[in-house]
Amino acid sequence: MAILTAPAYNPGPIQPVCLVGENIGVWTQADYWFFKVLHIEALPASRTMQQDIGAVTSATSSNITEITVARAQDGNLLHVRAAPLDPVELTVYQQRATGRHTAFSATGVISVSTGNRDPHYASSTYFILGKEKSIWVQVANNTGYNLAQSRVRFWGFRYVIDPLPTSDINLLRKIMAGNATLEEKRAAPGATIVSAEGREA
Amino acid sequence: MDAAMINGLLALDPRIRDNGRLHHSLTYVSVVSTANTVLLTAPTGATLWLFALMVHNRNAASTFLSIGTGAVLTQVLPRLGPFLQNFHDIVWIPPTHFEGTIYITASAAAAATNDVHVMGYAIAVGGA
Repeated sequence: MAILTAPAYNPGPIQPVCLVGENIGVWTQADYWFFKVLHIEALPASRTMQQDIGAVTSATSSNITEITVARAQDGNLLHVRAAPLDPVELTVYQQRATGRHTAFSATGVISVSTGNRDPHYASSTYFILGKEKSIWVQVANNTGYNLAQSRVRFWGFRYVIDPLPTSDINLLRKIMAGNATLEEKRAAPGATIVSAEGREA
Repeated sequence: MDAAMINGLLALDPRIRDNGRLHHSLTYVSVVSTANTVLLTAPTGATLWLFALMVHNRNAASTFLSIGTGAVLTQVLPRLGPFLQNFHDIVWIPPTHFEGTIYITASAAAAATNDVHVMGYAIAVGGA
């Protein structure tokens, strides 16, 4: 069975990265964790999936704030995108101290302008595994005017997941590390790989 | 400023394209006296981009309109008008962002009820 990297960042509307009954591998805590997907359902873009980070004075940034509207339940993986509804720039962290969208000396931000070049906000795709691994956001106001609110809306999918047997997990980790034999690769179950946090070089 | 230009501007902003919808009150507002009046209530969690007004001045004198936010008006738009006696037309406005419920004040004190009729048309972004 094949191990596939999910086309989660491809242009276009957000879509589930696998089907119910298939396996998914999630990179987090410096390792891959493998699960069977039991159920998938949508998280519609709506008022209740919208979080107001708060008022932001011109030329300042908010505190780094936990996103609670897109927080997974235990045994769930969230697959979401984010778009600001107010003219702020979002710096995203996942885990709390690990920045996303990082290059050597710059960090990309999600802004209202992102939607012009990336109409479906594919570049703001995040995977959130379990309730203790929220994404965190800091909003910056560079509009020249004080803002009374800084709203961010989330939408996407929720996967209900169940861990694979330990033997399968170990085998798949071996394949991801490049240490598996051909026979082991043939014997391993398939999985679609996603990443649920930033990763240092 | 006409409807075609406004259409182009509204389409430019991803917030409005992806999360916007039409919003107006279900009946016009009667601006009576010079007190602040709610022109358009923002839906929960939403902000408003005002793009047009329909105005009918039934007052015996011309009037100016001040538009802003807050029951104690924080004026957002420069004063509109004068709207002459019996003025009745649509006023196009460059899409203007209001961070909450829109309030309106008329400069002419009430000579009778239903003094100045105003209907505000907006795009609501976010929220319900």
